[in-house]
Amino acid sequence: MESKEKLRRETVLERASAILDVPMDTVAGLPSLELVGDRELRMENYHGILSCGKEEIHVDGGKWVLRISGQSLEIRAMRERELLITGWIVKLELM
Amino acid sequence: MKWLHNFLRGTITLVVTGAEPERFLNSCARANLPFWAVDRRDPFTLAIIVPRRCLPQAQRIAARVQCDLVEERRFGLPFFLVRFRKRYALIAGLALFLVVTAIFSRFILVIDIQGNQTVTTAEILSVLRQHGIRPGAYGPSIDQRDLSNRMLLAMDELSFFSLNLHGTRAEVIVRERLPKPNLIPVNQGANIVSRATGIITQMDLFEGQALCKEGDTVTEGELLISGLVDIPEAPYSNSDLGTSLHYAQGRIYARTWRTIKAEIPLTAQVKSLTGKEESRFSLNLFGSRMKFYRNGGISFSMYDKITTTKTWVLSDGSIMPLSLQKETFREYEPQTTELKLDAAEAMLKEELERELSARLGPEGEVLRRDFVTRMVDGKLELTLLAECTEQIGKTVPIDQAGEIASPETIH
Repeated sequence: MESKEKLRRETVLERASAILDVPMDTVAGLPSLELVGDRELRMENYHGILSCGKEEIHVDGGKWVLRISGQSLEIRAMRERELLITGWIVKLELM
Repeated sequence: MKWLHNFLRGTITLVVTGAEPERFLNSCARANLPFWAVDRRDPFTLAIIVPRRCLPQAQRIAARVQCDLVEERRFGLPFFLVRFRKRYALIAGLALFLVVTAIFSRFILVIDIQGNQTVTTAEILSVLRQHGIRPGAYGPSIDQRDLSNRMLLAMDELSFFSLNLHGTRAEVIVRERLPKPNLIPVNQGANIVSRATGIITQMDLFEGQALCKEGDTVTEGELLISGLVDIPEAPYSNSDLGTSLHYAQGRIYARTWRTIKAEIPLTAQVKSLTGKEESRFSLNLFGSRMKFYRNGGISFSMYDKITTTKTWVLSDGSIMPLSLQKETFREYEPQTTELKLDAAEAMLKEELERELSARLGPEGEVLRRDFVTRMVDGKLELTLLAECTEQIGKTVPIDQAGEIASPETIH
């Protein structure tokens, strides 16, 4: 059984999305990730870049932080709500 | 393609230095400022590439997030062109080139004639010039349909005319009219008479009544084939049915003897060059002549004028409407000199041969020729005695009164 301290608190919009069976990224504004192989990562609804480098990139997802580990990582494109990271992605962590 | 787009719009590599350079990236993303190729140099420095037009906005964002912004590299066409902003002559020359290319490409420089066989190119160009089509004419002002009609009216030899403009080249396509066949008049008669004295060797009768046969000796003007043909009487009838009118046709070949004389004085006036000469130059551009000299008169009393024209021709053979003309005036003095006998004789022989060939026509043939040379009153006289075979028939129309009309040459 999972420990409750490890799970973050569910927001109202998240709960409503789950009940109404509607996409959470649209209603609740949760970040959406799309990983293409281990070469490209597209992210939507992100809140900003916390740090960037060739081996690690930290992305603010609002309630959590996404840590991307790999090699030759590069922020290929960055807009207000969309982010494209390329390179050799080894690990994705939600912190 | 992306590279070309970036080259055309121009890009700048910016180095961002600050405590948190990621704040600069987040601010740029929120402001929809495009950037790419993020390169982390060290924990406090990163480099990005932005379009040239976004530089002011990037500088404002950097000031807001308290980061230093340094331009590291500029790349693209706008930065290349800005070097020439003080080179006014280059800009003016480029503008002039574009204007000249746009405007002068509408004028005709070359006229290319195609499809003519017997009608000469010079003749067609001459008629075109009369109708305003010449090197230097303004192409869009030409009404091609109207020109086609006018050219067909001006030149009866043509049955088709078309003008197509391909930039500075005017392509003229023509087709020649087929010659009208010689039709024999329905109600007109003609006789065939002899045009020279000789002995008939061959006779081909097509129409009419033959009045001589092979082997007969005929004189010049003698009737050979009559256009008035006797209508044969009916058997067992004494009535004379008269004659019927025909257009006599036939070919009569005969052996003839021709005697032609020519003479030439043995002293002649020749030109002796003094060695003095003058040269003048002029330039022809689109038919207009620009002279490079002021004085129009020549100081020599007697001179020969030699004109040399050098026309600019392109590598593909197209003749440009630009030519340099050189006129050379050489002074001479007339001198009386004696002609060499053999040279004068050769000249006379050539002239006699030419005259004989003209008299015999294309079907004539010379069987034997003899030359007799005499000196008469200081002149060299040469006589040609030739035995020939030629076609001696000549058609002479018969008018309505039945009389022989004025002679015409047989075709």
